[in-house]
Amino acid sequence: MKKGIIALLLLLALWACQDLNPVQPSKELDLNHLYGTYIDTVFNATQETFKTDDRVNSGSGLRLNVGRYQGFESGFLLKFVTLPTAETHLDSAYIELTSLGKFGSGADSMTIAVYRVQEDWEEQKANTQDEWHVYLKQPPEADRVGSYTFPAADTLTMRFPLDSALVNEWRRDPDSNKGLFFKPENTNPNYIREIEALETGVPANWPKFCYFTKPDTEVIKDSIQTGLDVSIFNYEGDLFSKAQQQKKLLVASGIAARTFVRFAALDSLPKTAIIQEADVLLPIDDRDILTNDPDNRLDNPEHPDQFILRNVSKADSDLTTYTIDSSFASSANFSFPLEIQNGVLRLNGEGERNKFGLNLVQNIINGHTESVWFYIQYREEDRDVSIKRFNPKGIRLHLRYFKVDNNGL
Amino acid sequence: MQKLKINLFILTLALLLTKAQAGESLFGVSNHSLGLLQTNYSAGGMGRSYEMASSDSLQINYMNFALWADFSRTAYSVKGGYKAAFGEDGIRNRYFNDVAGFENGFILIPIMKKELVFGAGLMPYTYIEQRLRTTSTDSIARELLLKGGLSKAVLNFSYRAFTNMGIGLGLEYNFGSLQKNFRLENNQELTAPLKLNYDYRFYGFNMVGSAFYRPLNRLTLGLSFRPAFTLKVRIDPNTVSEEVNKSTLTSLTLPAQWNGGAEYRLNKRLVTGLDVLYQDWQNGYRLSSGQTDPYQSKYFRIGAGLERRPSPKLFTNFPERLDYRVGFFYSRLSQKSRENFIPEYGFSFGCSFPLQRFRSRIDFAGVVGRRGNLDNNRYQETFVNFGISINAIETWFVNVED
Repeated sequence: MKKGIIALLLLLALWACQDLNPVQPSKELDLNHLYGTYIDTVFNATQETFKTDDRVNSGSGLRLNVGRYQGFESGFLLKFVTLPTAETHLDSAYIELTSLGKFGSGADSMTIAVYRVQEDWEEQKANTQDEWHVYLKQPPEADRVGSYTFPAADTLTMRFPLDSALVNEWRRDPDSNKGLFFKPENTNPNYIREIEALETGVPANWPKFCYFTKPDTEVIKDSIQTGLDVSIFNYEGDLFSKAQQQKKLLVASGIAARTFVRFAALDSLPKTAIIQEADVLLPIDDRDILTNDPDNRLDNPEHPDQFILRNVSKADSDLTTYTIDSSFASSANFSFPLEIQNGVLRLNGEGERNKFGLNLVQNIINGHTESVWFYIQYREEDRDVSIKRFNPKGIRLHLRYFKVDNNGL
Repeated sequence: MQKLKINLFILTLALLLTKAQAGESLFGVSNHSLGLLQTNYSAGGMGRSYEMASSDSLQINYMNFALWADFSRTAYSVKGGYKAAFGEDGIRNRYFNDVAGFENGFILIPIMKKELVFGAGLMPYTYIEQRLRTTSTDSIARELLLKGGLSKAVLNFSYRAFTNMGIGLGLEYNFGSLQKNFRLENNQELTAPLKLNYDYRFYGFNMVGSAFYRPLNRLTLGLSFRPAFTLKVRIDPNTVSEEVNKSTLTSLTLPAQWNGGAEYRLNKRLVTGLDVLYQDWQNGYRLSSGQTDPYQSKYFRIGAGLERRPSPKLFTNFPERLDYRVGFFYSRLSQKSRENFIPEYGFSFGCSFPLQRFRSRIDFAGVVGRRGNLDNNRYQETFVNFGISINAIETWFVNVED
């Protein structure tokens, strides 16, 4: 009988171990005010501006740019590092580039001049160094190896025949191979051609060093795609300075510009706030940056609408120097991508808004993170030329948080 | 005996391991609630609905520690139980909740046989476990999982001062915890829920005094008293806010408790008795600010019953060796619902089986009752409780050669 009793008790106990189904609380338990108040609120930006940087590292850019448009000028450096050996008989060689788009309204063909580079350069530094910006404006005429004209079609395969003597010299003495510089000829095509760079995910579109060789009786075509490339961007005009004066707000790539926004409300959030999610909203202004005409001609449709928000932990009063919170470099939890939804740039989905709220705003409240500005930039500001304009009056910080004001007992 | 010990161990372990995940009653949930007050009857007392003056040298009295002075040998007892409640709220919503687990355990060690007895034990004091959910007009859903309660660890000395009178003096350590897991969901958005987990840990001492008196050979009176005491509460929130997470210490004052009872022996086997329990939670339960909680109520319970004890004959048939009990009770719970007190009433029944005659036995008890009513509380529960306690007498600390 004892065994039966134990079995019965065990059955009862197991039966009792069911999940609790939630029930409506009685009047005695005020669930709506337990621990505090849920707050869904919006704060307007108290300060906003933008800063330019014409020396961004474009060494990892997914496009090579060549052309002129609206005061922007671009060319690029290209070097193939493993050429066929000097013993290989080489009949002819050319460089093949693939263009999948262009930015600008020009419809005429573009002549691209090619120069033999005599100086060493580094992919991750060239666009940050003055000398290549000077080179873009005024390359040494003695280095010119040729010029080639291509139509204004969007998609294009461009071939640049190479002088055999030059190629053979590079093969005999690899140290003499400093690569080539491609720049628009002095006429203004009014567009910038965008060429697939070596960093893209489609190797078939990468720049190629193509050559014909005849090891015996048969001619064989082969190609090499191992190399370095980097775009050089120049701007000659007053667009950015005028936009600053007129308190316009923008982000730009090529010549990088980053928007800075400050929300004073962050400093006065209650210490007992528990952030559920936070969002930064910047309305897109599609008008021309200076003239306010209906079309922003500098908004490059080829450029992905992908942006990043970063935290500025320190800055002097006029943003001459500032420090970006580097937490994003070690953890994806501190990298906040933005996207455009219904004409507003905002954090990319609920997950990102939750991440932004918990990892940044909550840390600011907890005193672990210093924050003086938020900074918004193009995700690929090394890719090509593009400018996105925002409406400064509609910039908001949307917060959903719970303000704890009692301990529940 | 070895087999019995093993079975007891398995039973206790099973009950401890299967501590239920669900609460029984939906009553007792309020802003400052520690849970519903538990009545700590043994299964014997539960079956007859009274225990305060029940004297039985084979059964440890869970309610009146002074009566432990009746013991001449080491004894121990454990109790487990199962409780289920079928609730209805008058708008066709029906609820079912149940709970099972270990409840009490005591051990008595006579220092001087039938004169001075030391005892120790564990018993529940309050208990709560519910999941509550509400959705406001702005589609914000709030959910709270409440779980926990208080227990008491008892150290008590019982002393028979006179042949017909004894007293007990004990120290009780109150301990326990309450977890409140709060979750807020914004149903308009696909936002991740906001979570606040609060852990309340309680601790504090109180004294307990008890007494019994036999003015007549057939009549026993029992009394116990616990003065009001202060319960410390350590609050440890677990949230993403470091300011909120700062641990804080506060206190609660728990009310004094008066329990009294009487038992009258009608004949050699038939006894009847009565219990009256009282505790003023309405005025005696105070928050750290000194304020009372408007949702607490004056608790009392009246129970009465009848017990037919086993035949004292050595050789008799099995049914005559059993102990039969019936009783009824009426109480008002320690909390209010809808600003009205919560009545609870029902009847009880039980019986005892001897495991080893005159040494150990197992008690079964059942209770069927009604808690709350639709008119005043807008919610009522029909509940059933089953209890089982095992009492065993051991021969410890005795030199057999003597």
